[in-house]
Amino acid sequence: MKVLLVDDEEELVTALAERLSFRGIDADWSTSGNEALKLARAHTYDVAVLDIKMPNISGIDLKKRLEKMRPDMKYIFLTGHGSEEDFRAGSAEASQYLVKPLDIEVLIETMREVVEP
Amino acid sequence: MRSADWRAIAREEIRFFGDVSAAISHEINNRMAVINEKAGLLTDLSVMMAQGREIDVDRFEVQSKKIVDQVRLAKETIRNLNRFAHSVDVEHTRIEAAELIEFVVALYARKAATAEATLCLFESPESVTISSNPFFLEILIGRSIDIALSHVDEARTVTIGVAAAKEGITVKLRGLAGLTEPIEYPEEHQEVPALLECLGARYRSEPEGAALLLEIPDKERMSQGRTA
Repeated sequence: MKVLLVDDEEELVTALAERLSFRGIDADWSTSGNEALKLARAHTYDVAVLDIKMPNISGIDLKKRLEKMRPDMKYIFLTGHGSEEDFRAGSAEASQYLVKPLDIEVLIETMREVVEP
Repeated sequence: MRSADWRAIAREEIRFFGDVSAAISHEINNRMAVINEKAGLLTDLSVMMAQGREIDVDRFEVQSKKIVDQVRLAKETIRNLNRFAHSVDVEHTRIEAAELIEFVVALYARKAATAEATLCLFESPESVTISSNPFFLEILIGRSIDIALSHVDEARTVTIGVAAAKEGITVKLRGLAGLTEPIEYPEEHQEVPALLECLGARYRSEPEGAALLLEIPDKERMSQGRTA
């Protein structure tokens, strides 16, 4: 499984990518929407894990742009709080929606569910 | 002031308290999320080491230091939250204006980043104080930043400074484009005029629309002037 992680917190996304690699999952990461679009243009991913609230572009808008480029890619949204507003937006736009801080085993299980339903 | 205006101010107080609390809780949660991942990484490295994998021991020290950094950032945020919560303790006091602005700018850092902008402080060469309601001033400075962020120019940097004026202080927010009078408030901040009226404050823009000026009278100085 190849994963694209996008979150503006570099310390979070780099640690997460490394922990996924220890579990045999190939993860690229970016801290901005533009970088994520460049990566998606150059590589194929099974699933993108996107933070909902980022500077420059929201995870929901980024998903819309990624979808045009990679229609088969699946999506999981991350949010800080799981507010009602985020939940409505996230559950309407993505297969899954997880609240930070993450449990890496739950993230992996969720990624498998969306990639191989 | 009419009771409707006081109700508008009360609504704005609660809304501002909510806005700032939401931003701060988001920031604290981000620090916790990073600490959670770093702690998980340390556990992973320990398990791998116990299984006989060769792991550079410096990696443990590097990650531990990063956790300490995150704790320091979270502590700073919590200190700001505590100070903000105590803003309502005193209704009227003499305030060091530059220091209050610096505090509101710290509260707005994430909001500015989300708007792809940076907030910078323009240091005043002299101490500028004002006798006023500290919480009302925080709201007005915060809402001024909101207006500035919706008019920020291509350089995406809002510079904020304060100067003494004849009747009080003038807070100046520069780096804007196309700001016109009367100043239009974002839809969610329609109660701001009632707060301006309560403090006897007003907004102006510079002729080219590149700066927003918030003029706030010092009520103590004005009443002294009237009795002199």
